[in-house]
Amino acid sequence: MSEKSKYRTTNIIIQTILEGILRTDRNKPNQRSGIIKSHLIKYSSLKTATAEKYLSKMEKAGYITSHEESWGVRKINVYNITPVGRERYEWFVKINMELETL
Amino acid sequence: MSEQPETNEKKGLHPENGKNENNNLLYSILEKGGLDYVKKQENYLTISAIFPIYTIIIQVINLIFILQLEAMKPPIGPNPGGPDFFDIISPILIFFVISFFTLINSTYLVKWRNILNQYENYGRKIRKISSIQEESNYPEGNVSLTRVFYDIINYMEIIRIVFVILIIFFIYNSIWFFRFFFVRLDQIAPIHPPPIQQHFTVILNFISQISLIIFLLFQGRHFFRWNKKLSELKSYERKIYKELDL
Repeated sequence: MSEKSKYRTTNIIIQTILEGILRTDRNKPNQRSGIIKSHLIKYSSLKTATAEKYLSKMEKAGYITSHEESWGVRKINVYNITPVGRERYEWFVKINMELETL
Repeated sequence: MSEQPETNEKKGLHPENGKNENNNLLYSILEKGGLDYVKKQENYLTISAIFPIYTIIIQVINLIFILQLEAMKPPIGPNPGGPDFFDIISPILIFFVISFFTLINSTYLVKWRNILNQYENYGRKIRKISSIQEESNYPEGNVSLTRVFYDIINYMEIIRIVFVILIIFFIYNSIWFFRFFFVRLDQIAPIHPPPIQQHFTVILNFISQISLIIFLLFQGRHFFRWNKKLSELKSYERKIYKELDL
């Protein structure tokens, strides 16, 4: 894969994951923020292994955070977006919209 | 009766409402801006698809006119006259090239409208998912704003190459126009004074040349801005890749 394709493919995945978290939060204004891992993987249409690799990298880079919550006897992972992640998504949308301010 | 797990929702705990509201506002603003931008791109695509139709119609008129001249040329004589191969083939070539450009734009226009409908339908579906209990009902298939943006970007990367080919054919069209109507026509048109149809064809072609110049300037400005944006996007993609240490 060429460098350009690698960068592009990566960015599509990253922005889709960030968007998935923001979009879910928008749909549940009065509930907990964040999205559970399985929903995020479905939203991104990624294989689990690929999604986990990107989620781990994004967490390390400070774009997202995760925490465990209990749901009865089950444990679920919930992902939230950080200010850095929000900024990255905002930049991406700005570049596309060609606006100086939102 | 089995007990449902008691979730934080049922306990009435909403620990991060503040953060949630910020994300809520941000995405709403971004989504509105993003969808407005996509609408602008659709308008651009509509103009790019419709505008050349006039030129396509002119080429059909030109071809009919030239074939009439060919039919009316004297069969024998020192100067048999009549249009040559270049005269006949030029409107046909230009017709096909511009039709191809119009077809690509029309195809993308239909595709983007479908994608936007899918995006809105998908948004409606995920809005109905209000709790973890509905996890298994989370809809498959993602149509994200990211995907819509990248579809537009991929289209622009292809169409700017097609546009360069189009410029070459527009220059060819202009050369043919001046050669045929200002040099060749007097030599090959059998009737003097020329009929009204001939004047009409010249005027239509002249208008076509002016409109092509305007169209080229419009597209040129559009692609100049796009090239600048694509270069920013590539730098941004590189930055993200490095930050993630992939």
